[in-house]
Amino acid sequence: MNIFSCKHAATAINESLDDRLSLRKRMVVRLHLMMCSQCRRFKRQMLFLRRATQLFARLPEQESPTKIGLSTETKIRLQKIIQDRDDPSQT
Amino acid sequence: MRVEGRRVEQQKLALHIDPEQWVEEHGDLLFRFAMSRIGKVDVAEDLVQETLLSALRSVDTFQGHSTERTWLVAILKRKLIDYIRQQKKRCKLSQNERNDSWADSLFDERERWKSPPRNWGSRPELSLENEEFWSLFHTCLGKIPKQMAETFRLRELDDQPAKEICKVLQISQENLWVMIHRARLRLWKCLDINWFEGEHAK
Repeated sequence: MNIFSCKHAATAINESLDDRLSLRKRMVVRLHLMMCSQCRRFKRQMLFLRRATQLFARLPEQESPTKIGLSTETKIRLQKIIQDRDDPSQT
Repeated sequence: MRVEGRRVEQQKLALHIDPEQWVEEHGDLLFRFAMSRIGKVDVAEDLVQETLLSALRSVDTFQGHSTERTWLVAILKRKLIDYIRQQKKRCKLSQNERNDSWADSLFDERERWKSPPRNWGSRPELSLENEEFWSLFHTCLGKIPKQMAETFRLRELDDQPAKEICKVLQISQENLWVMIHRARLRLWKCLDINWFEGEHAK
């Protein structure tokens, strides 16, 4: 990778998020970051994005009565399916 | 005595299985979960239904190692992957997504940033407590090209092993990482433009 290339650095930063950065690249990108404040900022923002993504993944599991949910009709339909299957006289 | 105690414990956990309560207690959550991964109301509803049916069939195998909710979410995750796998059979990766020049357009011919990353303020983490931020996050995710977004969701949201994703989506490992990188860059740019450009950067 080219030590002066922000494009290469951005790819390397991305790879580092997945623990896929080779030792050699790691050294080059470290040097690049020393002299490039733009990529330093980019790296911070990618780390922030990673954290936000992890939080986003768990959002649906949090209780939020006001948020979207199943429609009432669907709930009734699903409830009926479960009850019908539950009913021993049906089997 | 100890064995006895454990049995009682298992019975107690087993009592937590109550299909009659599933729709009321977990229905909305399962739906939200499916929506966050698929984004289509009808598909999400179908997947919730399939999840509940599948759970009903395997109530006996519920071991009580996890909560009822965690168990249902795990089933839903498998249903989601099955759904994506079926979709895959119908549509192959479009050429457009293979040759995506969008990421390249961020850099000039000397491979420097065309427009340098913007300042996101001293405390971007405050945004994580803002509901509008999450709604935008959802929107931005929706703007990513389909296959790229699927790869991103499976890997970054559901923590699926790379190998598994490659099998489901029928792509190479190399392709997988490229797509995840591109998806991240798009998400980054989308949040940058629509959130951090204005007042939230302060």
